[in-house]
Amino acid sequence: MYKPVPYHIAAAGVYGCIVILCALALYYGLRAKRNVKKEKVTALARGFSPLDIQRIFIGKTYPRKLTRALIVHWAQLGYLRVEYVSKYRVKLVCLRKPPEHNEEKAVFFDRGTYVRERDLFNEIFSRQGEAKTVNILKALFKRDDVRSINASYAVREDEGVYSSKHYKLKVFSFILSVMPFFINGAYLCATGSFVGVIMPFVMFVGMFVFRFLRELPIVFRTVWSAFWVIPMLALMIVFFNDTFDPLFLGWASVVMLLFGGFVLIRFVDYREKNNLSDYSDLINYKKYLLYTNKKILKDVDYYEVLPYLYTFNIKVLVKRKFNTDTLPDWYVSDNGKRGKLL
Amino acid sequence: MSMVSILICISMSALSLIVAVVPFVVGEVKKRKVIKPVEYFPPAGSSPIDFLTQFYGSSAKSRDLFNAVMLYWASRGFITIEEDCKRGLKLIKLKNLTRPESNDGFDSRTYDIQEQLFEYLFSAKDTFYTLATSCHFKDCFKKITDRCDEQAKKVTSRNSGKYTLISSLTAVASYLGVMIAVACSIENSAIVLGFIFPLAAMGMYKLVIVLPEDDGVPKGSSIRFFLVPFFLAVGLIPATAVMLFMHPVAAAVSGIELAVCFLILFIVSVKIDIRDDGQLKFYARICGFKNFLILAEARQLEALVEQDPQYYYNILPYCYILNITEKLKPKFDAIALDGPAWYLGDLRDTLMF
Repeated sequence: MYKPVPYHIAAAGVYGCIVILCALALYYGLRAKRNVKKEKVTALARGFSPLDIQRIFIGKTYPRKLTRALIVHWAQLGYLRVEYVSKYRVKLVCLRKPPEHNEEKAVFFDRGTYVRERDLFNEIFSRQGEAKTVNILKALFKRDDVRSINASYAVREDEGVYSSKHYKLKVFSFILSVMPFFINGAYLCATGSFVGVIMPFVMFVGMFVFRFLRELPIVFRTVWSAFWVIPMLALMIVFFNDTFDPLFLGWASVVMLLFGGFVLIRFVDYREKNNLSDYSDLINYKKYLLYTNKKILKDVDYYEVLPYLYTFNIKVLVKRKFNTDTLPDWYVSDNGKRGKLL
Repeated sequence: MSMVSILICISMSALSLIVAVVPFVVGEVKKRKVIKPVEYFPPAGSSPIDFLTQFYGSSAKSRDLFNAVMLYWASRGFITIEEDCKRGLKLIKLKNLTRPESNDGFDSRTYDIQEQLFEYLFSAKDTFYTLATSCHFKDCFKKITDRCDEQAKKVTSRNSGKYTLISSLTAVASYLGVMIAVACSIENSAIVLGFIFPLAAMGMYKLVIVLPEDDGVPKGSSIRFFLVPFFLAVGLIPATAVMLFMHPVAAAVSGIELAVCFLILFIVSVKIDIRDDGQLKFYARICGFKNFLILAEARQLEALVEQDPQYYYNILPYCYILNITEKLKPKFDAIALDGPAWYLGDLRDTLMF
């Protein structure tokens, strides 16, 4: 049953939410990039870890995805000797353990990352001289170990990366993404379809569990939430298909819920001032590695930048610019084969 | 719905609202009317914990205490503060914590809380790095904040608790009364059963919130966060559905009573803060100090900084607690300030404001 006045009020609300969320995503999505200074960064501080790069970029670290970067980084710092076994397998020998964070010998960029990284190292090697053969394409650590190490520190990894404003903006964006659904529900009520009351709440419970109940396993969470959300989305579309809907409010709310709630919200990003400066340095360093010509990069120590090439995921693009003729001191290969690590 | 039923319902709603609002207003009026002496300095010997407990009473949020206490210790020469890796702090113990010479009437037990925190920080080593702090510290800090909360509850008089309980019970009784009146009036008692759900949801939510941390849902967990929309859905869906099938007047009366009950249980009753004259004395002194800082002209502050170059850094911990650092920033920005000796980093913007 089409009622023009409530319909146009609902349309204004739905499309207003869409416009605001798009504007937020555009403005804050480009904020970090706008703050990138125009300067050349040719090296990172000694002890700068691949985990630091992840922390600065996204506020959290995934050591399970950085196997090769961490092996090379630790070998470069003298903690490991790496022996060639096969194309994708290497033997890691612990030469020494990373020093405590408060010792003078400890070299790091960020203490919070370093203490976690040290714990990860100790998770693999319990004593000096211990050797382990690993596949460089597989994770070095168990997921639960990484989680428990992260949880064993009081200060979160994203401390100093994202301010409270960031999380407020995220919550606001989430509300904007579900709001059209509620507006449509209210409109359906206004036209006499009282099921419009129930749909948004049921959908919201599903969405909320999916987005915020991170303790639940992802598969269970997805299936459980899908049971709550998908029927409600279908119901919303069916209800609006049955009425005169020239502005596609039903579809708009569903698209907003999925696209806004899962895609646009990722662009809403508000970083701390200090993090913006580190972020700028990393972007400039990445640009330096990507766009500097071969003549200059030929003199740069390839093995020093290799952990960062892995972390930036640009090794394939830039490896040819470096001088890779000699093997590093920490790499042992009896038959002269390099394997895929280098 | 008859006019008599409507009047009965409105009377019950109004009564429950009056029972809650009167003690709330009385408490606020008493706090407002108390004579606030102008104080240029924080009362001698008072710590940020004293400020927190005395100023906010039972609504004190002691989780934000850490920075203020660190600054307070640094200003008294017990520790130095250094910036660590741009996002953390390095605290170095210089000497053991000592009791202030005068506590100027404030509760001396807050010193014991400080001492416990100091012990947690520096029991193993004289240097404490926030970035390398183990999660064990969280539990220790939780014990500290619990002690602060306990201390803060003692600041408000016992009557506050009584009035909170009475207003909550009256709100529930009035809610049930209104629903029974509506049911009798529309001669359909079954339909009113839908209104039991919001009451049950509100009750359950309150119960979950007041459950002890160890037995209940942990604070800050996403499950606790999830409870809000869950109880919202459990309470509102049946109530709204039932309202849609009711006569508009009956629905409006029920809706208003639901809103009143929610307002009393979650907003008014928790803010009832009645203090006796002795308790108001400390509150008045803190208010006087706060008012002075907010209302003082830049030249008055400049004169104080001239007398004591460390003035700004001495009052800073208290400004944190009183949440006025942003307001003071423009005033103190105009005055040339040297960084204090105990602060060796470049974290002024982050830590100070």
